[in-house]
Amino acid sequence: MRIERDDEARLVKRSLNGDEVAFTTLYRLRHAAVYRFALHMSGSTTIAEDVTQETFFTLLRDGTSFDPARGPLQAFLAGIARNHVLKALAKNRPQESDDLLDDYPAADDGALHDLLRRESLDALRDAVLRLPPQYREVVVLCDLEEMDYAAAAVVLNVPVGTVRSRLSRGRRLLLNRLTKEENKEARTKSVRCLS
Amino acid sequence: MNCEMWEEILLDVARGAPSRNGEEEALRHATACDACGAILQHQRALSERLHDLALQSQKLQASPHVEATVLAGFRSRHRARRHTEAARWLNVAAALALIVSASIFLMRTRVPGPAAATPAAVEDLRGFLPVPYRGAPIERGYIVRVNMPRTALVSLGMPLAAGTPETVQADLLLADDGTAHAVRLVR
Repeated sequence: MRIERDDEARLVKRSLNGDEVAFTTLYRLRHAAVYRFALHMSGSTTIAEDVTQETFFTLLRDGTSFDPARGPLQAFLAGIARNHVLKALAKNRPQESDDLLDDYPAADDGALHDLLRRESLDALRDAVLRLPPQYREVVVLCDLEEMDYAAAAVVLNVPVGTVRSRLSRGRRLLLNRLTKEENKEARTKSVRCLS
Repeated sequence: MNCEMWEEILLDVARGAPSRNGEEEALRHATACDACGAILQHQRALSERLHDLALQSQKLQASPHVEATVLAGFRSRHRARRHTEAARWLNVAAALALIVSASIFLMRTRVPGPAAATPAAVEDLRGFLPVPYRGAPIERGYIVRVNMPRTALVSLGMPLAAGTPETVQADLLLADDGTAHAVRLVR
């Protein structure tokens, strides 16, 4: 569902004035993006849920600082979520990614195709999780959440040029990791075939 | 322009980002340069996989208990806020009541003790001018000495000489319930 920035600002204002219907609407519209961002950043459903909760509590406390002229509400919420994620990551090292697998819904086509696709997506997800945070966040925002550079710059509080260069560097790192993993896998398979 | 500078534009091309200046030139370069051609190919493949992952993640959302917790937090926050506001108004009302009580107390204690208007003191009531809105006649009452605005005395019908100051000392004859019945100037 798409809503205009002014409508978002009105919903935020009404929420801050105690309108529960407005707040519930905002939560239902925006919480999934916050949750996905936190999940891709942390690899943990527990952290992602805590971050989602804390992000909306922070919105209730500091929502008056939301300025629709600076960017959409999604960027404002992602900025809050980012702070909570980085705090959680600093506390919970190494990242637990074991509880992530079951959260991904299976595709509808054939079982083998599902398995291969899932393996490939798992490898990609792991590679994203192993990126240094400053590259991971920009890949998650721009490539997985499909946010434009300007909105990502608001979330990260950096110039658009920095977003561009971090994304370029992050994707290069991602490609290197994936290529290395795939080469390792190919070598293992050929050894198995020879034995 | 060297290959490194083309890379950013090729990245946008691979991501399907809105076209920007130099896009066509970058694509021509990628056709001529093997290294940049390979980068474009890899980046396009990566974009497809990332897009796939984004699509797979679309249905992800926090469990319902998170919504319940967040809404419970919302309710308790606003309940607390409402209580704080009510408490603030109660404090204001209490402060006003205190000010009014203190004013009345001060008015009553400004003269040496409210003297009950006993029959013996009736003589002292000479010179009093009944106020227009007084209630039923009283048998008992007390006198309070106050500073009254000149305009208030005029509005009660008190004849005042020219040059009377802004505030004038006057005696008020009050009933037991505190209503004013008469006023006179202090000579």
